[in-house]
Amino acid sequence: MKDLIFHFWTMILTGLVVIVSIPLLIRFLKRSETLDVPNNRSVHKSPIPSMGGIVFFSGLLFAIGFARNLEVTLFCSLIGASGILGFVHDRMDLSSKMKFVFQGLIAVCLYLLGFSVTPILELIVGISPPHYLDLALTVLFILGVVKAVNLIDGIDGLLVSITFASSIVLTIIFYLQGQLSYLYLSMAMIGVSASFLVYNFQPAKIFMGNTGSLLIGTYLSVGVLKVTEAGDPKFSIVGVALIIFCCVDMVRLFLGRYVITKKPFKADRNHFHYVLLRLGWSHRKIVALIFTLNLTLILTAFLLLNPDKFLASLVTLILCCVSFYGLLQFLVFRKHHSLWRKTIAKKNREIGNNQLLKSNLK
Amino acid sequence: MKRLAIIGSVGIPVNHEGFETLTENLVEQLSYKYEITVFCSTKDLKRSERKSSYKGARLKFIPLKANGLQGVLYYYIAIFRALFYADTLLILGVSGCTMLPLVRLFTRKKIIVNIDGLEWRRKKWGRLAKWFLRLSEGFAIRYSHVDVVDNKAIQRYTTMYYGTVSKVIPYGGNHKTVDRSNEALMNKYPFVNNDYFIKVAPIEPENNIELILRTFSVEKEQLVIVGDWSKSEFGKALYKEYGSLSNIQLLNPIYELEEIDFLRGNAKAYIHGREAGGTNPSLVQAMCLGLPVISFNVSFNRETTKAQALYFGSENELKAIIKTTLEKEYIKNKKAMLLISHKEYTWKRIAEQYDDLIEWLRFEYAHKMNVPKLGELDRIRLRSGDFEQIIAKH
Repeated sequence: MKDLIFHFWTMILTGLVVIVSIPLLIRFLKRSETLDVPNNRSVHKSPIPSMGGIVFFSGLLFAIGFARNLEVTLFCSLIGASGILGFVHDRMDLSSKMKFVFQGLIAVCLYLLGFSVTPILELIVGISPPHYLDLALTVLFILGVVKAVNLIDGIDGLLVSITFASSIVLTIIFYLQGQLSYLYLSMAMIGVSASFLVYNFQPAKIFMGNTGSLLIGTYLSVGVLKVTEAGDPKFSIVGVALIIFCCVDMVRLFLGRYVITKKPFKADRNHFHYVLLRLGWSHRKIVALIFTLNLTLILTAFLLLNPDKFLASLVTLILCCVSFYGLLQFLVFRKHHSLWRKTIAKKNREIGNNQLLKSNLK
Repeated sequence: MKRLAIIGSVGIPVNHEGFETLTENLVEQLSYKYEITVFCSTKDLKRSERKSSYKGARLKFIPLKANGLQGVLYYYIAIFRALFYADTLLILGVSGCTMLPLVRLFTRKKIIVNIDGLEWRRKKWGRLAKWFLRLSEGFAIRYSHVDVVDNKAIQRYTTMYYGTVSKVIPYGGNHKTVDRSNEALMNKYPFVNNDYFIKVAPIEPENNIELILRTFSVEKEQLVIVGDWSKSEFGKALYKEYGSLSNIQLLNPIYELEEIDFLRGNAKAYIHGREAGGTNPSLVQAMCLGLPVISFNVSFNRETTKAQALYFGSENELKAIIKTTLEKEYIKNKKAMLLISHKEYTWKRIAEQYDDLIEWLRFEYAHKMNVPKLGELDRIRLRSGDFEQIIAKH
């Protein structure tokens, strides 16, 4: 534990810096009119300062400063590059193709740094793919997780609370694996996300924007690849459990869009959290539910699943996510059913009143 | 509120006609609806004239000239800066449009370009400048979401040459009644008590200044030309040759609107000699003031005046018009010009058209209409200058 003194300092210092700097940042963003103006798909009703994700760079800088390790520096720099891409997208509204190209380049650089999906594939199918396939799958994995995380950033405090929980899990895994250099980053992210949550929880005073969501997406995706690197099935399944919910929601969303409109990338409001919002749930309840579901998946992966049977464990996790959607559909059905029953009852009353009137007139 | 950036004018407020007047009027009409940012040039506006905002629009300054070679860099910097906070870019002129492919590739900003009036055809440009302006025009039309022209004749050209349909939004003018009894101005310009013809234009070859001066040097009717005579050798030479004639008044630029409108408003007729470009602001202003118009016979001018003005193509034709036109024809011409200007060239209507365009671009289905291009031979002829014949033929 003595070794971890500096790690805890990283977490505390980052948290303090963020909690002090956010009010100044909010003031600056308001003055420079960097606001997220609500559109037809927005949940918020008034303009809120956006691009608060800039504060997550402090976590990266503290991690680089404290770790003083070349690999961590490069790793954090590439995550920072994702954040910069998100910043540029927030300011200049980049086209989707360009965003995809730049993210792909960052993913290729991360592959060259040694992050790869090969350990996961070896656990699932037992074979190592050739280099070109490994590169393609790694890039696809990173891009997919970044997109999934970006999609989940739609409710006050949702993504930050997931980041907070995921960072705690990553911290535990990095500690157990002895990856003390990477521990600086995960603990810094705990500090940043905890402080940011104070201002991002409903009613949010600041949004992280694409600056934060792309940064966090890259951080989580390569965090998962890092924990699976050693090939330990127990840590690998827990690592996958961190992101499985977002990814399954994204796949469900794209499939649904493709089936209905043939346009999987066309924006809509059918995400898990938006459906709950339509059912009348408050932001806090939704965050609490999704946080609990995520935690359930992580605990299931950690405590209940057999890590020796990785593929079966992965399928179990996916089925758990599917069961959550079953729960969601039940809630939707119940709401619509109660609405339907109320409407029928109202109609019956009207018909009854009319008949009474007619008989009185006779 | 949607954010609009207007790029390409020297800046506001200035007393220039052209894009500056368009910018000023768009700001006046649309600042209630859009957060407008206008890019201005510090080289063309003195420090005392520079403001941070004007009529609800933010003014941003760039330390380069808005025209000429520096103008290209001016446009690049303005477009790049505008990308950071504008949703829609309204670019006036084509000088910086070589940057548009990058803007379309990297961002989702909406781009409207007003391509002005075929700048590359002007005689004052050398070969390299003409080539660059043609290239910029091509980029502007191909890579903008909408390209705006101010004249149907130019629309026919862009349709035939580029295969896309441009949007026609003409230029506007200020409709007002001129105070013809201003004593101070009457004392300053004693010739207003008699009949005179007026022309207000830059002293450039494509304005046919020399042709008009030669005609009036023979005809002895009173002529007043307002322009910058000392700006070029061409102007200086004309001033030297014709400045001493008793029936010709060659006046230096007048920047006071009241004064120039006084001169225009008291004239017998407005002579418009420009043979290049689209809808000319001076011509439109003359129509708005209710002046009879004698115009050079090109498609742009016929389109602007809806073929209801008096037209000349040579010295002899101008002489014939001056000698033979009766007073009642001038009155009929005057009424026609006023009617056309009230229908087509009010700033309110023009601002509404730009507003409709910006609103239309919000929709996913908003894109240019493609049409078949001209055959190769006609395109070569169009490029080489058989412009009027090809336009007339189609």
